[in-house]
Amino acid sequence: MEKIVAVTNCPAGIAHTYMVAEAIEKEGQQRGYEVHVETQGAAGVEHKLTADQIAAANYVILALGKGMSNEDRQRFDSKKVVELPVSDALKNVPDLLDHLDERAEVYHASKVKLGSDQEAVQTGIISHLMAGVSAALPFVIGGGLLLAIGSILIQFGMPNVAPKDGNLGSLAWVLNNVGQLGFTFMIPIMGAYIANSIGDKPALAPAFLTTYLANSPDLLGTKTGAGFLGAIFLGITIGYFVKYFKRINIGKTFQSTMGYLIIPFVTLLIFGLLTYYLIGPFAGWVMGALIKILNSIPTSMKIIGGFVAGCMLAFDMGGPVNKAAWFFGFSLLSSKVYTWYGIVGVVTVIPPMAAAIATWLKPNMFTKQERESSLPAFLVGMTVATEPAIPYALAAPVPMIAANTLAGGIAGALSMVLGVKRIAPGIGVFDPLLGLIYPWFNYYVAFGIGLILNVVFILWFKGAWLKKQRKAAQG
Amino acid sequence: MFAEENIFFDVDGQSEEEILKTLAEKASDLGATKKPKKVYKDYLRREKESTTGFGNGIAIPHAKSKSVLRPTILFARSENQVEWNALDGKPVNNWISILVPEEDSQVHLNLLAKLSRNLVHEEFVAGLKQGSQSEVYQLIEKVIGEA
Repeated sequence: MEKIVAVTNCPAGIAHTYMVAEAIEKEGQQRGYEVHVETQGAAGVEHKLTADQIAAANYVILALGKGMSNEDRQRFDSKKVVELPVSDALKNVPDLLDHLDERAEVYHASKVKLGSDQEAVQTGIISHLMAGVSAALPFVIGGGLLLAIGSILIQFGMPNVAPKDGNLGSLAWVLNNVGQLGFTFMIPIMGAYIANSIGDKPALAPAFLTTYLANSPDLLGTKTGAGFLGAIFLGITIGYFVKYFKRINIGKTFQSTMGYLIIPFVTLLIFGLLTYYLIGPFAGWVMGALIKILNSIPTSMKIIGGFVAGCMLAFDMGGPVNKAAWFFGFSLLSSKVYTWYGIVGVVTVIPPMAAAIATWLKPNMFTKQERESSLPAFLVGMTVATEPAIPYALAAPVPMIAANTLAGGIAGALSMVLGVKRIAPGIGVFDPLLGLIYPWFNYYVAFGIGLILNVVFILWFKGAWLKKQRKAAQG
Repeated sequence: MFAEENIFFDVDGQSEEEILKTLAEKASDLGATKKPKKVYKDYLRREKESTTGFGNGIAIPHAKSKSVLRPTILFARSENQVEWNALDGKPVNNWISILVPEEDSQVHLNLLAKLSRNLVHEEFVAGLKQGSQSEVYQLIEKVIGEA
């Protein structure tokens, strides 16, 4: 049986969303399709399409009256998609279904996402974690930039004075404190959106509040907050708790109050108490221990740690290994540990830039396509993402990945030795100028050496690899 | 949300604007809003985005607005046909209007969603167009009263 999935929305979310959903279901089923329609109306997202439903679908219909974000659209990557205004869909659903195949175009999600070195949508737990991270990112980016401006002002001699005796705080003080709010709330937001990604809206509020609680040592009476461990644990637990809670049937009279009253109330009650008495203190203890270990690692061991992290970041250019190291560094920001994220700042920009420079130095070692895409790879690489290095690696996996990984590891170790700190994600190699990475000189030393080594390794390894290939071809 | 007194079988109005103004005033009479002029503007804005005349001589002017006090369904019919830029190009003489406050409970929104879903069923629309006042009332009440 052929399968259709659809998403409908409209400006007010009152009428057309549901009319078109019903029409597509009705007409589709009459024609023998299996149909699933997600409605994005005033009542929130209902019948949300599952990854399995989308994967199994032959066609995707997007009947939109208020557009769809690229983030939301990602899930339809590589599917046959028909997109049309919701009013056009309403006009003639039978005609739409008559011409599905002619009107459908294969949709390709853009692989490069703005402002972060993360890959496109994954499935399972990782996708929920990334939902939390992508919601938290703007908090640290916005907050981080304000902090950066604040500290630059202070460096130029502006006063850093808190409000007192009826006087306003100084500008630098205000910027620092507003910026700091971003860091305070990034953790609860992360927990909230992890939970939201799993259990939908009813999970958001309880997860936000309990993660905030778990991360507030002054409320808990502990030494450290639960940090990102608390956000991950509470986000996932509350998400799944709510997901299964929603299936309970409490009778028609009260069922409609589930989403906005019963679930948030019961969930908050249970997890609020659990967090206060158990999860918060325990996660705080783990986090405290983790930070203690990281801080007490002898310098020689830290260098090895930096090398490993650097290797991981460069190894798969935005894949899961990179993600694990990236997530580790990023998550420590809220605990004011900046050196591991410093390694991310140094290493993630190197592979695409090195690949581009290598094509300029030795054009004959690369294909025409590789040479032509070198400038965009260089620019995107230096500012946004490691992914542009992927095509170069796919063309000659062994030498390219070996070169990137080795150079990444060395740059990572150097970054650790030099104590490069990054306080928030920004725009790659320009971060030191924004004050997001410091000390700036150490950053450019680690980055410069890493980049030069990476280029040298590429030319060396790929040269040897090409020679071997040629020999094999002759033999 | 809906009662028999929300049904008006004798509305005047030659144009889309006049009908929308009338609907807003009726909503005000029913206590659904204190600002009929704002509601009228909200209707107009929604119609400008795309017509709510979904064909078959019936339109569903609606608004989600701060000026609306409580969720309300109005049904109106007029003697004369009114041009509505409908999807099928035909004029309209039946209106089912939905007004929702900016913040509303899931219960109401779900019921209204259900009502909207019914509007693509031909029997339901035919019943609305031809029914007497009490038939229209029962038809709508049957959809939104089930919960």
